[in-house]
Amino acid sequence: MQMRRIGCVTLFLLFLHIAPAQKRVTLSGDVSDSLSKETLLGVTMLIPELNKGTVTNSYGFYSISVPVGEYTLVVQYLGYETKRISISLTENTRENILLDLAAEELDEIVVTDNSEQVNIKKPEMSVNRLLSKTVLQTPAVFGEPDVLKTIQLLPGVTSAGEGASGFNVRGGSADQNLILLDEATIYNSSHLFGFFSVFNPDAIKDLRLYKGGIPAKYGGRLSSVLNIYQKEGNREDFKLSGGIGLITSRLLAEGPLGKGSFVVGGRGTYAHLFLKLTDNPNSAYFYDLNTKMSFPINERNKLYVSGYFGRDVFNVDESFVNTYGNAVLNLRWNHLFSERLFSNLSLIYSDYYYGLLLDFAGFDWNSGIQNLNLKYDFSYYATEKTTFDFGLQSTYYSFNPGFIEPARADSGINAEQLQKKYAMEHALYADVTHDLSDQFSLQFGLRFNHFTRLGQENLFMYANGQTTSYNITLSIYEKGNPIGIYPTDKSSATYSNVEPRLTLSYAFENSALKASYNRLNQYLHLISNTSSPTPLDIWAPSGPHLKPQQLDQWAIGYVAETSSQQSIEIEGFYKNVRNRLDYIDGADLVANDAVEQITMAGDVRAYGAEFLFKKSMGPVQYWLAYTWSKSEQKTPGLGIGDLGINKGKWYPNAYDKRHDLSVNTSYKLNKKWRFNANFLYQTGQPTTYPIGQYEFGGLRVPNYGTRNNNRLPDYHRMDISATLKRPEKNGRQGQWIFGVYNVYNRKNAASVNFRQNRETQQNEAVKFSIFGAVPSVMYRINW
Amino acid sequence: MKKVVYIVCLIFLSCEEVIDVDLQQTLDQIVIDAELSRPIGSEEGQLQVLVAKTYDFYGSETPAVTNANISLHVGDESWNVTHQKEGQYSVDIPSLVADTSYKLSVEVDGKTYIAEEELVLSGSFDKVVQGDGQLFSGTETEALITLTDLPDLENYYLFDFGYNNLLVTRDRFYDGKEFTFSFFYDDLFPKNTVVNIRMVGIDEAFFSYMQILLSHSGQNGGGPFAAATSTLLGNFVNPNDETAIALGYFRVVEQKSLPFTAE
Repeated sequence: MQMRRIGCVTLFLLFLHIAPAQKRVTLSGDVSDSLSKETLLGVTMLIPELNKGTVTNSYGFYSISVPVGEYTLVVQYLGYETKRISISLTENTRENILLDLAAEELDEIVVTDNSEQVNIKKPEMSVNRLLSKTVLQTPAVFGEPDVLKTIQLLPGVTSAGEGASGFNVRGGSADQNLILLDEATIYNSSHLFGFFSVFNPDAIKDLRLYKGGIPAKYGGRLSSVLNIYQKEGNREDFKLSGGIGLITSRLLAEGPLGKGSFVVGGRGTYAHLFLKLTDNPNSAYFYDLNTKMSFPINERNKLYVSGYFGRDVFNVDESFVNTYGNAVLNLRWNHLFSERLFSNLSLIYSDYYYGLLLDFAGFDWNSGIQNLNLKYDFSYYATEKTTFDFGLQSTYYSFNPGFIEPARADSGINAEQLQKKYAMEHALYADVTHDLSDQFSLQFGLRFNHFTRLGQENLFMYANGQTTSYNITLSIYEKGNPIGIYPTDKSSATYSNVEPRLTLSYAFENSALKASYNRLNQYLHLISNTSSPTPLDIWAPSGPHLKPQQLDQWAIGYVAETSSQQSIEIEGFYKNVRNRLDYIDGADLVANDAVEQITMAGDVRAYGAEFLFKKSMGPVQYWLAYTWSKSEQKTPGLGIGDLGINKGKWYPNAYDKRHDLSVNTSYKLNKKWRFNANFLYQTGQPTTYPIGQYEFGGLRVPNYGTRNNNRLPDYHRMDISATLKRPEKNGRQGQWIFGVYNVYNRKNAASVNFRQNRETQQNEAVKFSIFGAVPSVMYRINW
Repeated sequence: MKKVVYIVCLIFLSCEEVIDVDLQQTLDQIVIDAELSRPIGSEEGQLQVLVAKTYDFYGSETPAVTNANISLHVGDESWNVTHQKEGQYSVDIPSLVADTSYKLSVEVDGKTYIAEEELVLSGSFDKVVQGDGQLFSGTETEALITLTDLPDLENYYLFDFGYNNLLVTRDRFYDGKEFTFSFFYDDLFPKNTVVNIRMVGIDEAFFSYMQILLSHSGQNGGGPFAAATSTLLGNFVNPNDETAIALGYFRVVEQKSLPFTAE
């Protein structure tokens, strides 16, 4: 309550403070690529006379309100020629700007007006931005450029390993990342168990990763927001681009559509087709399809339709068939109420489906999650010092934890539907970005969340709300014993939370000091007790038994830019999470309708320091990222004389990586050749090693001690690639990309298993690794 | 799931390698493997107890405990469980029935460990026939197992397929029905040799115990989806000393074996 009052009063006072004293006029418009007319996001625009600037928003739109006068507008964007426009502003002016791609031979550029200052001064921190071009250039396994593998090279981002899906940000789990593809939520971000991501880099324009300092516009996941923006398509010419690689192939078509444009792109693996030729009945493949259409109706209205469809299929002789994937459909309407008030209305449908047919056990299993989402976001560019962002969001969720039915008439399986769950999440947010002085800026926001888990049948009731029980004699946690079932109308639960978000920035000549604080709540939990998610993992909504996870994150940082486009960013962070689910030993998650019986709520704390050194212009470009961090979990007891999991002590959770070092380099030799290399080093994954062995039931069994008391061997590898551009012929441009993933063939441990050797009967430690050195070749062609 | 990842990566490069890992070990914990069973439908019970200690992970000889005092208590009656050889103790009892509490007491070196259980009823083990299905490598032998589950009870089963192949299943999806499933032996499975396949009806607690045990012993292949794990405790308690616990499990069950020969 106190929070709400303070928040409202502050917003109100700021509003008064910025009431304009003299006549202001607004300069606004879109910034686009001069050839394709693709809008450009995050373009910096500086008015040196006022030492004020702005950036284009996620739709390429900018708006800045200044006193009447004569100005120079400096427009700068990486990879494009800086544009200077003289403008005489006497009334509201619409100025759509076209930027030209920078000439290929790029010498060191000296930036005289320091428009990068605009970015440095912004009260935002813990954000990394990647252009699709960077993703396409970064070497990856099988030569398939990968968004998630590239973001792991950023500071603060790690993953559980090569076979692991998702990624981990600042010691958080993979389900704590809000992954948005053109504003639609994606539930499973990987194909084939993490070998590939679901994002086709050819269809992507830009991506932004918030690791902290998350603006009030975003909510629902604790650790990060990964915002991926798809291309709109070339509005001038019809273009085709394709590629054939050893494992994957792709085709993308874009071009004008009426006054607007479209993009359709698909990619897939085809190794399974060769298996078919050899009469091998097994196959494993994935494919995905990205589409987007944009319709500019007039200067004030634009419509967009985006879609994504992806599937992974594993088929073992028709007796084991596993199919899963995301599908997303998104309708958006950009509307300009005035030159200063931009709005976007989105209607989004998002679906994640998982199906498993086990013919040899006679059953067919389907599960999934669907959501329907309405968002209305506004940006009010009040003055050159102040911007307001506000809006509302509503999401309706439907969770199907599983439907099982007999696969054949004679299989002994009983059909069963696990309890479906439904939830609604509403949010209202407002935030203001304001320059208090030439040096000092802040962004302050408040987000109000209201989450309701709708009533359902068969919700168990427990004595004292204790869903897990402790067997004092055996000293182990066991499933709780329900004492009854809630009547349907009493089985719902509602959570209301206020989330303050604050970021401060104090700027010097070419550098700035930043600080931020976020409070975030997460209402959905991925029920998974493995170190990385499996596609079978089910999302469960918070409810009477599962409380929402809640996070507080503090961060401080320093960013500095030199005039030759080199920058340094240093940050320190501290995260505190409550109600993080921990699982009792031996928790059986499969087809479990009462997950509350095998989970206990605990705390997580993660802290660390990140260091990023970047050079982003010139023939040699690179970044170097180093993170030192710790991430631990503590699950206290139920208060009945028990100590908790691992005796209630802090223990490293699965995302605790003490050191994380990554280097990404790119060297453009000449018009034909470019070379890229990565190096990655991470401390080994926490794991549990045995403390002895014994025999039981004729088996030899390793005896384990406390959770995560050891580490796997450290992970490191180097990847290289070389790109050869063929000369352009008849409007066709081809390139060959040669690469080697894991150049020195280090067999990094994905896990270490302890078992008995079949021949010698001796116990041994067996390291399971996924990729050694993998060479790749890909041919890409653009028309 | 793990097998699939294994296969996908096998396509490219070999994935497994034996490595040297130094372990910090805690040894000489008591382990008791005790089964009181009767054949399904009959009444005579047989108790087999194996008492040993935990030993070096890289060692090979399990240190048997030959001087334990073991007794079985049912109501007012007691039986002494006598040592046969190498840490194996056994005794036969004339009648093993449901709704009766059986208490096993094992005393070693002045410490006593107690476990108490009741008989778990089992569905019937109908037949085993060979099938001709294949799984991943094309060299597997398929055994088709048919059982009939008891209706309206939560039943769990432990199967021992011989050669250290164990499996646990529950009647979640086939309650009360006749259910057939396949088990695939790998290419090391001998043909034209009789193997006894044993089914044991178990309860939920022992099912959970065996699930963890099987994942610890690497039966489920390990792989990248490893759950955080810690010491697996069974149902033995030490009433005098909470910190000195015995590992292992005492179960009271019904069982049946059927022979299987593959061609």
